[in-house]
Amino acid sequence: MKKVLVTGASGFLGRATVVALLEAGHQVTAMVRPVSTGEFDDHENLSIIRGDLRQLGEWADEVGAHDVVVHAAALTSGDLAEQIATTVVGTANLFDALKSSPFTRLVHISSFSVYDYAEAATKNRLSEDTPLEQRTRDRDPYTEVKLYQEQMARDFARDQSIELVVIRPGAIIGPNRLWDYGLGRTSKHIGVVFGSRSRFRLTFIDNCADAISLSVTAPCDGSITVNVVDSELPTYAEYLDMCRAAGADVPRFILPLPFALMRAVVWPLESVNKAKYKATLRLPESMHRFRQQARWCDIDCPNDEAQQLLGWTPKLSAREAVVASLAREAAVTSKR
Amino acid sequence: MALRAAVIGCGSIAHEHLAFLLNTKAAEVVAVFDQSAVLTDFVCQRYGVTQATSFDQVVNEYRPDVVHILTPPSSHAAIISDCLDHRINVICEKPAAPDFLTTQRLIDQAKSVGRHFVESHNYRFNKTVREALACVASGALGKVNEIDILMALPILESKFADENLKGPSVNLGAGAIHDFLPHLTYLWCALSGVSLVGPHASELGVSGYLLNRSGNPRIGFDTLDVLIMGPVRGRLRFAPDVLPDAFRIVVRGSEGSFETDLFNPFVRREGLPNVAVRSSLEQLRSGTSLAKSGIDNLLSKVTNQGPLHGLHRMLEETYEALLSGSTPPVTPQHMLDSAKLIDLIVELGKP
Repeated sequence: MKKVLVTGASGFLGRATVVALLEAGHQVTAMVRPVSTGEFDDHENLSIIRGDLRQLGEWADEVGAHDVVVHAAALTSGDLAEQIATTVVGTANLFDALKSSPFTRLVHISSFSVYDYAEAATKNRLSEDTPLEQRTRDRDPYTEVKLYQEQMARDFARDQSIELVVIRPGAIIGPNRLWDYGLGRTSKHIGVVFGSRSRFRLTFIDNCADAISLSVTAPCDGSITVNVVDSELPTYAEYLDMCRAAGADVPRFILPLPFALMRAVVWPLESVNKAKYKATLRLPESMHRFRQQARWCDIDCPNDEAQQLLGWTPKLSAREAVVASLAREAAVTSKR
Repeated sequence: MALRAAVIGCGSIAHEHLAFLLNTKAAEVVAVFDQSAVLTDFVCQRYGVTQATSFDQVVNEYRPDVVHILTPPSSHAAIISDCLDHRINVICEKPAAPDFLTTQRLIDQAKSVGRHFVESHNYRFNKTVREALACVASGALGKVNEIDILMALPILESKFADENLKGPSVNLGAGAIHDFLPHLTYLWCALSGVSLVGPHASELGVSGYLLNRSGNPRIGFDTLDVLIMGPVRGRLRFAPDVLPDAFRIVVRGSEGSFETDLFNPFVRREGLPNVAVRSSLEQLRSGTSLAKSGIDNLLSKVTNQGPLHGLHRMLEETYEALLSGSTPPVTPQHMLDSAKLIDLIVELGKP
């Protein structure tokens, strides 16, 4: 049993991680925001710290005395300045507070978004060895910030001589987070499935939390980096079918748009952008070369490293995950 | 020739200032500094600019000609004063000072050292505000009698009201509204042409309310509704709880009116008495103009021309003035008028 601090514990992934760690028998301290809603069920191995990483406060004196820190706190949306102020400044404050703590391992939650998808597409393989994105400003604020944050974690672990496990999850699905059932643009009656034949690089929230829980005790010689993505990934079109079959309210008419077709539209747009607007046009994700590629290009994503290094196996398939997610949503609705 | 520019403060507005500075021949960024080392590092890495480790290093080692002060509002005045002490020109985000007297003192200090101190009045340089100012100046609206300005922003769902953080979000007289108030006041002053420190000052009365209707402890005040009586009448409002977000300006004169919005720009002009079908025809013309604005706004979104485009124009003209030795476009008079009106409004919030 380890004493584990989880930051961002009131968030989507942080909360599931706390539950997984408790189920694995660890003693968990969940760090939640002062006015966060949604309490945890009482558990003898669970304690709570209230604090906001953006601002140093009493919490800084309470985060010591753990064996492992799982840093899951990050903003997943908002503009660049907001994400810096929350994710980057929050991480800096946490690391400042942890400097004199005796913990031995940092589990840092990074993201699939940090990869260079142009490179991955060339090799048709996305693995832990895939280079990181260099054209960060061609992507999105989340990618920029997560890349920077991951480097902070690496620097901190090196300076403190602690073990580092970097977890890079794919798109995390779960209750109320089914990614619009894989639909891009949608209205009540018509939906578009971007990258309809491409595999959706997803991981179910419980599966991902299990992987994080295992990373607390997994053998680690200095530093390991692990992609967390489920096995047998469905295409976006198949994922939509799964959601529909599980009872999700999806539009009646669906227009599938394979990635190759999306790509064909982008080239002339990009030429006009470069020639006429000096590449200043802010194109939507579906029409932007790098961002489109990062999300919808069909790339092989093995999870061998996670299976071997963490001893992880995703418990639920994508189909079961969708069913479970919608069932939990329904249970919460009926409880209300 | 380029002026040596430094940036102090790496919050959201710094990205706009740096976007201008890195694309103009009038300036060369010599240093960037924020009290948060990690914030400075991120911004400097992103823009490929030099990172300073202290304010002293900025002013003494990098010796800029101009410092852009983009820190939290309550810190502005002290930093402006320090920069002026080092005989450095200052461009500062609004509000540059907490009150009129401090503004006056900083202007005097700038004058005494032969440097310029400019508060950002960025929206005055937006395209449709310039159209409004030109309309007023040409007499197309006749005598301007009323100016209403409404800013609607959901600040109760923003960092200003975030109770996870401690302390007031804006430590100034009008609380969180103080961060936006200068926009309302400098626009009202510019469009009305009324000087609050000039001969008409005593003719001006301000009434209304400045309230904390939400009860949020960090926000200070969240709702403003002010009537201005004087040579030009006016109403200034800030609403945190209406949709859509708006920054609506209506100027009404003896011979016509001009309406615009700075968040989703359009221009609607009406005038002349309703004779026969004149009003109907004007409405048709307005409808056409509104449709055209929709297309323009769509293009603006795609081409990254947001509501802050006026900031770039203001900075461009300020640098031109600094290089040529002429008066910057935001003058001490503009700043004093705006600060005086803010003082009068802040009084409304006092018990």
